[in-house]
Amino acid sequence: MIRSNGWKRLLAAAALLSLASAVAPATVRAQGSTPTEQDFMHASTDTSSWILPAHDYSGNRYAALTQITPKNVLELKRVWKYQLSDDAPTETAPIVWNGTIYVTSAHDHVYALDAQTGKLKWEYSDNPHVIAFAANRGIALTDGNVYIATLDGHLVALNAETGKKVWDKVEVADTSNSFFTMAPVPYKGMLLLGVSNGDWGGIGNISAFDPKDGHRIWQWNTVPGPGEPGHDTWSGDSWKRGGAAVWSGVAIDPATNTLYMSLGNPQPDFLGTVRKGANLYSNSMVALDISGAKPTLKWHYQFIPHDTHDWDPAMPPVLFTGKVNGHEEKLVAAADKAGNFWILDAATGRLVHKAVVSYQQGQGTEPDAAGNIACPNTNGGVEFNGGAFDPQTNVFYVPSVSECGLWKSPGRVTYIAGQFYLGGSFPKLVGPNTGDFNAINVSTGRFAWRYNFNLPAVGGALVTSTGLVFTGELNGDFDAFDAESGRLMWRYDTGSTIEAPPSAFMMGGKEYVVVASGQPGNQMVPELSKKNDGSMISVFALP
Amino acid sequence: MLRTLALVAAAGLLLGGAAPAPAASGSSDHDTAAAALADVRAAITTIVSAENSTATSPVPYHRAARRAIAIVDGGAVARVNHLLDRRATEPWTATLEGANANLLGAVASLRQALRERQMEDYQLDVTTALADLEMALGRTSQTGVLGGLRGAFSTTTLGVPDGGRVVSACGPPSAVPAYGTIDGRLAYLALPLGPARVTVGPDFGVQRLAVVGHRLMLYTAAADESAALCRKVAAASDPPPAAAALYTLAQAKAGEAIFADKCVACHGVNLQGTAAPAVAGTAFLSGAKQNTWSLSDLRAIVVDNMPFSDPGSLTPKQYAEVMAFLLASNCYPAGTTPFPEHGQASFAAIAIAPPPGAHPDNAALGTCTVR
Repeated sequence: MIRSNGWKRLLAAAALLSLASAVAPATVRAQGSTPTEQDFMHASTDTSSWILPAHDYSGNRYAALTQITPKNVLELKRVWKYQLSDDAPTETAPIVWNGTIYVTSAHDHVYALDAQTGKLKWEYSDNPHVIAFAANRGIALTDGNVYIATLDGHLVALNAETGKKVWDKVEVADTSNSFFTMAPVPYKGMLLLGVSNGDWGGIGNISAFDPKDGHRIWQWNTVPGPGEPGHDTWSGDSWKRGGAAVWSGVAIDPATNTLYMSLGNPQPDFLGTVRKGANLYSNSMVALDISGAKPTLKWHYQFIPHDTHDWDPAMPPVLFTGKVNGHEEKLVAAADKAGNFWILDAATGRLVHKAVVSYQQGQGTEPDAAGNIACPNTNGGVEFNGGAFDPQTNVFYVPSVSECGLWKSPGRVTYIAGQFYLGGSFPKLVGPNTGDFNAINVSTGRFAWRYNFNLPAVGGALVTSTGLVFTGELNGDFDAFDAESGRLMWRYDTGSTIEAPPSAFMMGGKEYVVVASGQPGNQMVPELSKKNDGSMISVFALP
Repeated sequence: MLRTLALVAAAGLLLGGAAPAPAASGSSDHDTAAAALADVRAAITTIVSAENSTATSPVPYHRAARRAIAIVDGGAVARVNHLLDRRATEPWTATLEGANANLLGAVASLRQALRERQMEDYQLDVTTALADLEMALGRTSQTGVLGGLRGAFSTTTLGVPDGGRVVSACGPPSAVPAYGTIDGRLAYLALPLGPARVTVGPDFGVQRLAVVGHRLMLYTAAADESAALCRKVAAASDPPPAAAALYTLAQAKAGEAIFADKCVACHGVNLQGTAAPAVAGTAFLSGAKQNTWSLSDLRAIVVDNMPFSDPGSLTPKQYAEVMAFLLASNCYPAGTTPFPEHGQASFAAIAIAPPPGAHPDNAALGTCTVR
């Protein structure tokens, strides 16, 4: 697909002009500067850009790129880096379109960078009031605009060419306990966006917004209210602050209009006695039919009923076709912070495989006043940037964390607006603070190979069709493995902690791999060196 | 309305007393304004009486229009300008400027009327002029507040007659009858309660009646605005109460060292937050205020949940020192009593909000340095 031709640039210029006079319909404006609905539908086969947070609607970070191979990967070099002005934990999924890379920082800055040179085209600096852990996972690019959802509950539209604000709207019901961290997902004229509030006393929802003006098209609450199925899984009024936030990415099957989401932990996080029951749909994957005016639940699968350890399924769902016992099946993968990796039947939610990827201990306990140890801790298991599937090896690659925690709960909880609603405290870290890169055979659910790291691993995974799989480490190393054998083929020290997922694309006949790095934030462990070169975007290519 | 009248009657009050006399030059603002009001009323009466006649000749109509022009142009407009000319801004300036525009509009319409050949055209012009005059006189708006000359008259010191006792609207009147004013606004007329007959001018606008002590209070439409002004004046003149001293400087210094070791990784060297939220300064305090956090809430967050990777790992003495450092960084004053090692019931009543009288060392962040 050729994108950067003169006619398109001309159109983009015309679009700017028409924006200024505010008379041209949005459809004209949208061409060129941002992807169209058709582009999104065909993102899985597009190698020249990276237009959705996890490449395409399946949520699988797999690109059919062929230039960088296991044979030549040793020559891979950083061709440029861009130092972010906002130095903090950096989890952005880079979006690449038309020669521009769009990334975000923890405090909701947006940077538009020239993909070739790393030169800054524009920067939008928000710096909203933070009630939580500062994090932003990226932007949406559609309708002529860049969309960022912020830490103070705003959805902001910026002109994709200039970074100038087009509109800005508060989209959460309670700004003292709800905010946004995920990248909005453009889908059939809507922006899908889930709310983050699962440890602060809100209840989760996924909403569809109109990209034109931010008005809410529909909202689906993740905790069933009175009269709805599943409401009886909450004792008393506990559902009202039940959590089940929508923190991270989503997967969509456009053929069936099915939206897959993994919902967050119940609240108060560490005190189960005040919310007796299974606490649906916390710690569950839900499949929603979003073809109608309002979503309807197709199925749900609860990974950990009545969780008391903040072990939510942080990994964004990955939808893929894998071979199980010699038969091709449509599957959806998930993983949780308790260290479980799950493969479900995408059509029915039936459990196909479960694999344990982190050290587990004491999972049957509940935190009490004296304190007890359970593994993993709240930063353990599989974290927010998940893994990727390789159709050629039929293997799923996912990093994981082995950390244990000492949990304590005083047995009571008070809601304080704007603060954690935990019924206890986040666990004390007690080790071993290591990580693994896990290759799981989809056919059997067993390990194809595992690579052990000396530190926790949270960097996501990227598979390219030459049999390479990339991941980043807490110590700043960016790694390429042989997908088949698990052999480490290449390693590059970026200089700061990698928690972000990589993206890859072709431009001007060259394959580029891009990854963000920054401060470790709450992923800090005593074993990690305090030396840190700051938050940056690194882009790699062959010489 | 009926209730209002009944109350007025009960107070033995006579509304609609003597009409103000036309003002001579050098008269008071009140008299000038009252004269302007009388002029406008006279002009309206002149036109309306001619309209009500049965004359078929244009002569009496034209005579009425000419007389009205003379009254408005030579009287009301001159008087309003007299009130407007001297000082740039009075509480009634904007209102009178509006009235003036309406008066000039009325004069223009009346002059046009004199040029018309057809009776219908004359009547159209005169109707326009009458509407303008009514506007200049003042009509009750949707919010129940008068505009125009009567509005200015009933809500500002223009309504205070010569010799009327003027008191500050910010407190109860020391004696009655008295006009309560502040900054040129007329908030109330206080009258003795009882059978005594008191005459109040026809244009004194009563919005609300109340009996306070042994006085009948006739509050004007400017009463609420006056009360707000009084609060502002009080806030400006009284120094704000200083925030209570909750910790010692030595504690804050010790807390600074603990913070640098245990907290700085997530909350940042300038306390503005890297991975975690800001814990001092404008951003933190505005959020705390919005969420109505008390000192008790803040202490619970620190003592129960921090440090994030090892909650509860500091000694009670160390937690008190960290609290002292946070309070110091948020510009709370130091004192001689140390921050206690255990929570106090009184903490629930101490709000975490920008402390009164604070002078941040870092104006941009709103934080203070421990010295």
